[in-house]
Amino acid sequence: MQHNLIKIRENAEKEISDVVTRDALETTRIQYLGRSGALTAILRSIKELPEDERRKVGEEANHLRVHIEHLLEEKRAHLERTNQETILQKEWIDVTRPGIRIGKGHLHPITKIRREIEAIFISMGFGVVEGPEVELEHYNFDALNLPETHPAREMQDTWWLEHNLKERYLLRTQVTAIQVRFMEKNNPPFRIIMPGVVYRREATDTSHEIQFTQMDGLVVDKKVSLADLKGIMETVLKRLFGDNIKTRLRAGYFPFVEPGVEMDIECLYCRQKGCSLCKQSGWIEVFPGGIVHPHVFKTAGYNSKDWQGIAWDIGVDRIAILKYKIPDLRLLRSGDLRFLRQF
Amino acid sequence: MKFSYNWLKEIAGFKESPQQLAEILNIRSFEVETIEKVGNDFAIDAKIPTNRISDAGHHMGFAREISAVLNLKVKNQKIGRGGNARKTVQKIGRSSIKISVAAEKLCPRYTAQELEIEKITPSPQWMQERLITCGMRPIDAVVDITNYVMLETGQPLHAFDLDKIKGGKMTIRESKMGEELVTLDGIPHTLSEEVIVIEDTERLIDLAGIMGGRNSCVSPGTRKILVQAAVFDPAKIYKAARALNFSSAASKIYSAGIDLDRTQIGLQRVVELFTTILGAKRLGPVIDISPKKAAPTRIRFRPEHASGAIGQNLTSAFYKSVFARLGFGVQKKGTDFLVEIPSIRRDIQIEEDLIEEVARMFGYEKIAPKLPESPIALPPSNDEYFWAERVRDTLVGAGFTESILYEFTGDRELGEFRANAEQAPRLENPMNPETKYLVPRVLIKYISSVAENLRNFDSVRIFGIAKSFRKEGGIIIERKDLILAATQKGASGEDEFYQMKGVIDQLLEGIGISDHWYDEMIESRIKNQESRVFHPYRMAEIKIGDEKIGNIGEIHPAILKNIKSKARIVAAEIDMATLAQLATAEQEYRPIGKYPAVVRDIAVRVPHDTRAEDILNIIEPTGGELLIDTDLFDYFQDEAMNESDQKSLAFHLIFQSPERTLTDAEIHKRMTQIQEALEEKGWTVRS
Repeated sequence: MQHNLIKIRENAEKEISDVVTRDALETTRIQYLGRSGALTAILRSIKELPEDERRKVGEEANHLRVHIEHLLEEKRAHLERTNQETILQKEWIDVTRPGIRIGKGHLHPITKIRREIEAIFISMGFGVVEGPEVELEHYNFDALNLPETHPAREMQDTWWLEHNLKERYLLRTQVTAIQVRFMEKNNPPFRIIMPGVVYRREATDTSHEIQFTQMDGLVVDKKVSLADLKGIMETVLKRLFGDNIKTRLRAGYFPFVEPGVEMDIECLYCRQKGCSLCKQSGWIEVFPGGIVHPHVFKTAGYNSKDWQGIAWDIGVDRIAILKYKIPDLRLLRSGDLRFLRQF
Repeated sequence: MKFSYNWLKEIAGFKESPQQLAEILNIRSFEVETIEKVGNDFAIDAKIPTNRISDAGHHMGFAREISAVLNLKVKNQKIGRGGNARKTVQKIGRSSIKISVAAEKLCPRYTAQELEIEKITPSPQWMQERLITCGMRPIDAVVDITNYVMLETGQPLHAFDLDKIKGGKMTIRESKMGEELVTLDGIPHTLSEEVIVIEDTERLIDLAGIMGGRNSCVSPGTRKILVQAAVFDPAKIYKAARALNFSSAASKIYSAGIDLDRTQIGLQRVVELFTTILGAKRLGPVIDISPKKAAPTRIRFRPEHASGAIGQNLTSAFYKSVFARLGFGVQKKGTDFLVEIPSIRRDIQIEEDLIEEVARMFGYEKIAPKLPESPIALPPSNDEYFWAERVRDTLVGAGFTESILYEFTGDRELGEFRANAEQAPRLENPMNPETKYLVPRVLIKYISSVAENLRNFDSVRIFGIAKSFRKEGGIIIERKDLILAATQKGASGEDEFYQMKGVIDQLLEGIGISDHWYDEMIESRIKNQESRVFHPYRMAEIKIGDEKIGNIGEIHPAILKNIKSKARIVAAEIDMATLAQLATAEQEYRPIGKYPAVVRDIAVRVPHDTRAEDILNIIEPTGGELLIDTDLFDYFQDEAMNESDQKSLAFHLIFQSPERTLTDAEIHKRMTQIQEALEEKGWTVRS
């Protein structure tokens, strides 16, 4: 009897180990543990053994049953694992194949830069104000301390509209034209930015355009100063170009501010070594501004004694070509998708 | 404006190299654009702003600015200070010429000197070199000396041949329309009004402040010279120079304006050089027609106010020292100053101008930056701007690329689009035929751009928010349009239309507009001006209630041919202002149905020209409240149907009740009613 048990153990261990499918495993189980299985037969015949042998054999046979059940379970789990593995393996895909895109469009680089700048100002509590592109001579020039015979008007070559209209219209040469329009209808204190399209009548080249985007800023309050202006300019430029960007504030002349200043950043191409982009100066002008000229306040109906203003302008297109290293300003309005799809 | 480095150094006596000098001037004064080596000198090209031309647009003044910035004393003050010409000049004889000025404003000061010379020689080498450094061509001693003194003192000078002035009389007046004069460069001019001219008793002899007349100019045989140092009305000179499209160093100086005290400095210097270089002899006394001496400008300066504006606490002593450096007189008035401005500083008229002087002398680089301290106040909201940004993001998500284009157009482009040029605002000074008008309908710019992009791409989807300009009753109407345009090579245009329509539906729903509809405008589509751009049978007006917000459609085949488009183009234009007004960010939760929805399908076979909406107009009311939604999922036409001019539309009908689970019997009843209603129209139904 004991000899039989040893034999069953040996056979069962070998067979279970050799089984490769779940069906064969089941057959093996039935062969040993089934109703007429080899071990079942022994377990059944135990009661016919003599008293002293019955206990010993019964114990061993039960041990063997537990052992075989354990082996079967182990094998079953193993087969399941390998089986799933096989199925998964069959489902292999080539992850190096290009992804399928859902065909998203692209924002214009000017919009991206404009938003970047706007976000900085909006976080500082600025409102956004727009104005007409076809503007009256008054708002674009006279109100800004640029009367008709002011030679500084020559700095801004102007597109004029036909004569037979009710007023003398022009295409605004600067979004600064919005300043007095806004001030006529709103009381200080306030802080606003004025984004928009402006026009200059000049020959175009890689750095000159007849149409471009500007964003002016204006803060009118009881107490604002050149120090505030410098702080705003530096903050914006650091946000745009990183904390390490070098800036310099210098004297500038714009008839609608007094004092007038201009902030330059170091040339991003040559890092102040001098190159063709910065005309060998190492610096690029990006940020004109100053303290609002009393003439502008007077035209707007503000009392210069009560209020102080700081104003500035950012050339959005210029920032875009600097940030994205675009070699030709004219690409921005070319409408060419080979360009636009890069952003 | 070009300056000689050596000449400046001679006057101001600084030690800085040209580069060092440029660096300091860039920060404190004005931009130095280039430094160029010329012989053993350097030409310093500085961008003098128009308001500083009077005081710094010449070597004496530029040197004075450098001295102030470097805190030096001006070394050679003989000419810079000047102003004693009358004392040193002996009275000689009588003038042979009588000068009269028609109006004081035209020529507030006129000084001149009659001279006699033996012959005209070239100017000395040193003078020629300096002229060349400053970008001027040496001609002969007479021309060179006048130019040199202008570069030195900022006083433009002109030499007449005294013998060519007829009648011993010169009158300075404004021109009359149509008067003629040939200038010394040989160019004939027909004048309009308001040009300042000088005439003798017979004819015009000079365009004052601009250029001399050929009939009175100095020539090799000239022996008697009248050299003039005058001041003219800057506005008149500026306008005349612009009208004549003429620009010279003198006209620039005159346009910016100069002070009245300068003529005698310039005249004294020019006479001195004529005497030493050409051995000239004075023929008469100094001619001087001048107004009463004006009181000097004095400006109140409040140190506290200045410190506030600069944002830096600066002491009274500092302010005082700056004014001294600049040569301004200072008088203390309590805590304030009364500052006297030299006449040469025409740019300084108000307290803010003085603040600029002290700020730049203090140094902008030394100002400690900070941010405004004012309390936080919510800025006014700008809905149109907000919604425009939302629209951009939605469209980018839908596969459209934003494009920004020029807002100009010309006759050719308008012609291609069969657009009416009458409404397009015309530009007075176009640069070329393409910039003759502002674009009256910016849609056309985007269509042109799509056609251009078809050269490189098979599929194009672009959008933009841009302005259209229209002339109406003598004013300009500016409208912000949202434009969408799409194309697919080889496509029939139909799918593109429905895709575009779907994008618009999604876009409008995304900004809280769901009750928009598409009006076919059956009656007006052929006549309608606006619709000339679109295919008359493939377009619709986009409306909300009765209000039109835009158009959608395929571009008219005739236009596609005109612009040589390689594919059909579908486009939409929507008025941004109206869109922003109707858009809403408000949303409200609706309970999610507790009871299951039941979906049934129905297919209807209808004549070809039946519209989907006609079918839905039957289904929806018949289905009643329990029919909560319908969805067209199949639009189909096989050959057999094609022959019989029919098509099949299939819909999902979704039934749901908020109160209970619907029974089969209930739904069956509704479906039967719908089927019967459709069959009543003579349509075949399968469900």
